[in-house]
Amino acid sequence: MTRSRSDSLAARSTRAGGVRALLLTLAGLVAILGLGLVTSGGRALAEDETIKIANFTFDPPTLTVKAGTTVTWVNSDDIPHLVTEKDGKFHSSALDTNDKFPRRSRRRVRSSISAQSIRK
Amino acid sequence: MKLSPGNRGHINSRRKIAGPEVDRRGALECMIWAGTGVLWTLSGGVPKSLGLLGDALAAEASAFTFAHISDSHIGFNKPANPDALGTLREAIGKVKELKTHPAFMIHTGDITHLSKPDEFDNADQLIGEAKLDIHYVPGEHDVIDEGLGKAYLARYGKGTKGSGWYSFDDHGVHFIGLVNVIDLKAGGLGRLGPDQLAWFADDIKDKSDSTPIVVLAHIPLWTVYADWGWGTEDGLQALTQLKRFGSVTVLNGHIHQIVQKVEGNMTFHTARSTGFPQPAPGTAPSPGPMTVPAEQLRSLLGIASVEVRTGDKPLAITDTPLAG
Repeated sequence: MTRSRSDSLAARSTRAGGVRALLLTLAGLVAILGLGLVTSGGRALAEDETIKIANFTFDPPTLTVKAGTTVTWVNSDDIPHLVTEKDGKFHSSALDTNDKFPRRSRRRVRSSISAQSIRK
Repeated sequence: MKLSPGNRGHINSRRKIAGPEVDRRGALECMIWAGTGVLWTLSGGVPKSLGLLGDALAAEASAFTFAHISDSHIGFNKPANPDALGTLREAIGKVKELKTHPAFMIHTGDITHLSKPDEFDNADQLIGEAKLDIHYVPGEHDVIDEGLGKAYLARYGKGTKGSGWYSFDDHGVHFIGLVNVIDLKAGGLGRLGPDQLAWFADDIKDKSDSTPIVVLAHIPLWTVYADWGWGTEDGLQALTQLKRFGSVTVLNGHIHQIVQKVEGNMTFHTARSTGFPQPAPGTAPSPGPMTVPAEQLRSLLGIASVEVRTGDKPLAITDTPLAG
C-alpha cells in the first residue's frame, strides 16, 4: 500500500525589499512506502510542473507532485529571487528576471517533511 | 508631517520602542515619499536629554560631515532605470560637489544587484572616484553569491566580525555598522542574530551616555512596513540598548525612499537609492522597482550628507536628489 505525503519546500525570494521567502511550498511530493520504497500500481506518472514567481509570490502557492516530477521555478519579477529549501538543504543561485531553477523531487525526503504543515 | 495610509508597522514600532510617552512628547514623525530637494534638521522635535551632540562635542573646533549613499544596485538594468551605473556616477558627482568636503562616506548596502564580481568591480571603481574612505554594510543583494556572503566579506570584511559587523570612532562619534541581511527567513524581516547582538552589547557597554551614536544597517532597524519585510525582527533588542544615549542616529537603506522619524533621543532615517525608486508602503502589489517617467527618475534618487556641528543639536541630514 502506498501513502502519499506532501513534502513542503520553502522558497525564499530576495526582494528589493528584503529577502523574503515565502512563497513556498512546493510540495514535493512523494509517495513513501511504509519502509521506504515506493510505488504502487496506481501511481500516476510524474509530469513536470512550473511555479511562476511574480509580485514576490509563488504561483501556484502550493503544489503537490509525484516523486520524480521536475518542478521549475521561473522568476517573472524584475528583481532577483532565491528559491531556498526551508531547512536550507539546497537553494538556487540568484534568479534574475526569467531565470529558471529546475528541481526534481525525490523519494527520500522524509527529513524535510517534518516542520511544515502538509498540504495537498 | 505626512503619514502613509499603509504604515501600520511604522506606528506600531514607535509604540513598541518607546512607549506611549513618546506621543506626549509630541515626537516628530515625518515621511517623505518622493520629493525634490529636502533639507531638514533633526534637532527639531528631539527632546532635550543627556549629552546632546552639541554638548558632547563642545570641545571640537569645527563640524565634520560624512556622506551617505545607498542601494546602488550595480547590474540592475530593468525599465525602472536602465543605467544604474550612470546614476551612481551622478551621485558620486554630487558628493564631489558638496561644499563641505565629507570626512568619509557610508554606503548602506545593495552595492550590487546580483553579487557578481564585475558588479562589485564597477561599483568599487566608481565609488572610489570620490576619493573618500568608505564604510559599507551589506544589503541582501550583496550576499547572494554562491557562498552567500563570502564575496562581500572578501572585499569589505577586513577588520569586521561575523558576517561583516564593526564599529569605529570619528570626531567623538561612535559609529556601528550592523548586518541584518543574513539568513533571512520566509516571509520575514531583517535579522541581526544573537551573536551580533552579543557583540553589540559588548561594543557599547563602555561608552558614556553622552557619546553620540550612529548606527548603520541596510534594512531599517525599526518597522516601516512589516508586510513587505521592511523592518528587523530583533532590531528592538539593539535599539533598547541605545536608550541611555543622548544622541542616537540610525541610518538605513533598502526601501529606496526617505522615511524619517524622531523618537526620544533616536533619529531614524532611510536613504534614497542611487539606482531605482520603490513604491511607498502598501501602494503596490509588491515592493519591486517602480518605473516612473524618465524626467522624474532623478528626483527620486539621491544622496544624503550628515553634518555634525559644534554647538548644535543632533545631526543635521541633508538629502539631495540627483535632480529636481
